[in-house]
Amino acid sequence: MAIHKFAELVKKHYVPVILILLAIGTLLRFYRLGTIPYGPEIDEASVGYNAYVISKTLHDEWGRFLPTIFEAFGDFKNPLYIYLTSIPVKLFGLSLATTRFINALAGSLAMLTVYGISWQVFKNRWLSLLTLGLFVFSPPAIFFSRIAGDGIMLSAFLISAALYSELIYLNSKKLRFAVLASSLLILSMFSYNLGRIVGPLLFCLFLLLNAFVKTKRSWLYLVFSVILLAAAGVLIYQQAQIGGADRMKYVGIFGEKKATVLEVNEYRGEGKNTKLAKLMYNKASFYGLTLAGNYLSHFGTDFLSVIKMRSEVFESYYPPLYLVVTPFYYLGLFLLGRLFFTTKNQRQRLLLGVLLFWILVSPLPSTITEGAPSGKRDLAALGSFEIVSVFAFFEFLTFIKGKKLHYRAIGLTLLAVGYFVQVGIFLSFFFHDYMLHYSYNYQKRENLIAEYITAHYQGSDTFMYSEQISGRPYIYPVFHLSLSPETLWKTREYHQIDRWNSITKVDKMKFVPAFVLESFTCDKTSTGIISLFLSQEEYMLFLSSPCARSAQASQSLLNPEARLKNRVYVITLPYYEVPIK
Amino acid sequence: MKFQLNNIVGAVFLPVSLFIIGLGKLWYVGKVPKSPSLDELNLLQNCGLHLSTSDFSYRILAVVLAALVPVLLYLVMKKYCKDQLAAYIISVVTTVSPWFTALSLTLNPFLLVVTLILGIYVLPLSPLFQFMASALVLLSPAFTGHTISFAPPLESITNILRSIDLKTLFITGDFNSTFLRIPKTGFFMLIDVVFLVWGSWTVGKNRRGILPVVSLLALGILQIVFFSNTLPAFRSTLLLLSLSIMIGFGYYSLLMKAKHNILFLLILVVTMINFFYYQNLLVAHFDKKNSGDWTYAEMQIVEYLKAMPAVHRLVLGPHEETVKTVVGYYLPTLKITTVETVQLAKECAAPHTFCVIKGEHLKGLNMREEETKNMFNVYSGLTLYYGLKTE
Repeated sequence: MAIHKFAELVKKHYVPVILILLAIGTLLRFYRLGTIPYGPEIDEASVGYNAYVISKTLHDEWGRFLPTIFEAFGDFKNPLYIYLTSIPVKLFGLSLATTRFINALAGSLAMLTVYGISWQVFKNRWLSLLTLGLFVFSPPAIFFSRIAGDGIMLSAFLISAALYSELIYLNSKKLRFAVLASSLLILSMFSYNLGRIVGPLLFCLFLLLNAFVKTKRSWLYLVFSVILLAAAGVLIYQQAQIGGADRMKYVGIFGEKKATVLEVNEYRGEGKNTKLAKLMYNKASFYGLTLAGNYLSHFGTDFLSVIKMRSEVFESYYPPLYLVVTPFYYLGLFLLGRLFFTTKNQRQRLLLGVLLFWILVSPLPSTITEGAPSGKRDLAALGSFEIVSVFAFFEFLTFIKGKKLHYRAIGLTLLAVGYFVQVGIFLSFFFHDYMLHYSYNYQKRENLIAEYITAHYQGSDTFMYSEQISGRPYIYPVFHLSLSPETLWKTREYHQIDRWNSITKVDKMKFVPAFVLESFTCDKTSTGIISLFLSQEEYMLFLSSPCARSAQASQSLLNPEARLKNRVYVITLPYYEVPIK
Repeated sequence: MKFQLNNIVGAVFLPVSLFIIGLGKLWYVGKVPKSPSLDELNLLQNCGLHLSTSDFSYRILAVVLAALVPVLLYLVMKKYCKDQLAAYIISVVTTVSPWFTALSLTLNPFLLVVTLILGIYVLPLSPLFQFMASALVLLSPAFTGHTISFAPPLESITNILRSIDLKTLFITGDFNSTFLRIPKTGFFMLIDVVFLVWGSWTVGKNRRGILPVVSLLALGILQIVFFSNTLPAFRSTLLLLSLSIMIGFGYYSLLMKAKHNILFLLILVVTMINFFYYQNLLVAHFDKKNSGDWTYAEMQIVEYLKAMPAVHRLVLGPHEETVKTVVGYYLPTLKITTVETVQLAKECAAPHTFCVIKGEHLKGLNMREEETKNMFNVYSGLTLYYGLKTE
């Protein structure tokens, strides 16, 4: 009876309930955006700083005017996220919050698109409402809304928005939605690389479907789509010319030096290179197994439901599905597939086909890259977990309709309690434990150094640290300082190694491969103050050097309980030549 | 007459043929793997049997036990599904599955447990009694050779989820159970994923057939929860058995649907290709890839010592229980002493002594790897042990 009363209450206040859910979801995505998680992480700093430079000068950090791709460290970042981030940066200044703002906004808007997709496919307000409710608390949705190393969430949102638009078009035949869907897909291709795989596939599907939908001026849509595709092709070609093509080489699984090819040679060797060994162990069979394994892993319980403590920044510790939701997801996949093949309603089959196609192609970007399954590269599936699970849940409700009421009530109550307990555990972990114990993943050490530099910028003539502290250190201080682009361009010194940019000097800051701390010489006639940042190992070596007594100040930037490898010390010395390896 | 013939076929011919198919694994005895497991050595020692390094005849028992499993499974499924052909196909699918093939290669208690539990299900007992009797067998150390060890609830749930992961089941197998893992192969063949999906639906429609599946699934979950210290491949045996049944249902159902068209042939051809592919991997690469866990390096030590009659004493560094067990079994007259790291220098210098140590202990002896003359490697060439002999 209580359940019926609750249902009546929700029915009466349907729109306010949606608004409340949206408000909760938005709060979860924006609350303390600048501090949880810690940062900026290296890619966030790069994205933020490039957005800052664009907002000031319309050039990137390397001086290119309105680039189609951002060189950054030599990793060539996609442009859309950086251009959009330049707006909040322009308005509110460069900070971690403004750097992350666009992804948080995209994550919030994704709640609407996921609700919309569910509504367009199933036309069931309860199903859609529950889908929204689940998505509000989705771990990857919250996690990826709050980091900004790439336009990951932006890309996922654009794909879901495109799908939503296309479904509206298929239901309403209003051409503008088909045009919008195609445009959004093209945009997704320029925000994160998963859009480059999923976007074109969905684009082709939409093109194919829309060619058969008879509407007025549908020829206009076809012409527009072709022009859009051509324009995207030109832009992508331009990007490749600058250097964007290299990314696939180092993250993809294809290549002569990659594990699969090495395995082929190993197995053939063990099989004594016989004809049978060559027939069985070749690139086709081994790549086939690797791709099959990578693809299947995205539908496996290990990826979908097991919590993993990972040290990668861009992988959510919490899996896409809460445990109580997992059985419904598998049931939902099965039932959707069955419904697709058995339904006599052509419109329903069409809509289900689009939904299933989306689910089936979403893992492809992760499938062809190393480290599969990857939560971030599978993010095109965002929202599908909830849609499928809720669909199965409603089918389950229909199935148990005839059972005794108190059994149903107990069962559903247990499910609800289990779900909210898991949500509580996740939120507690993410907003508390993650910050406390995993901030080192977000380069806490480098950021503390950068904060120190910012606070003492006028007090020292030189700041210096080695690659023992950080591989690409310059970006943190320039981010924290909001260093003017002109100063950067004038004072930067760098060299390239395999297309990767290694910055050695920016203004007062010097970054060296390694120190020779045992060989310090103390030149008392020099003027100028140098601040040295040393790792634990370097610091111990420095203490035994003859110049340790010259140090004017010495402090640890991190508390003594920090792990040895994370400690950093700042030593202030009268300036002299520091021998470098 | 037709009815009687059908009965004879169902009662005699089919089970016997399954037993014969199961006995086909006798071919592996002595070939794969070419070294014993620690469990086998402990069992042989407890039985008072002392065999030579090249004698693997005890594995015939494992094969016979393994050959009984499809027969018992056939009888169980025939009892519940009332369909001889379905039961037969399910049994064949189970016996040729990679997980069961790997399990049948060596003497291990979980093979016995599977056989006993299937034997219980053949008996005309109530489902509840069958389940309880099977649970008793499962949890009894007398049968499993392992004591119960619980993991915390979250870890148990994680173990269960990892056991049913699609990539583990169909592509990679379990990386933690290396000496049961056929390289580049899952617990099932890749093509079986299609039959698992189809079979899950089919078995759900067959209300009678679902009973043993659900029962074995429940036992499988108990097995994972109660044996958290055991290798994942071992503690998943009953779970894998229930999945095999579902896959078998899938094969049966699809083959019946495709009876008169090309799909039937396609299913058979693809299945055969998958089968021969993993068989080749098993025969040609199992030992090589898993030699670190099979007693490959330890058997080299045994062969070396057999050729050195002047050595009267073997000194081992700490944590070398595997060497002790293997050498202790094959060379029972050799005196074996385990010493702490600090004692190694003194003990290894004693006359008629051979010292076997790991790489990390060389430093304590002020020695470098290049200075040792005897190295015992796994197949890939990675050195596991270093041998030092007094001159």
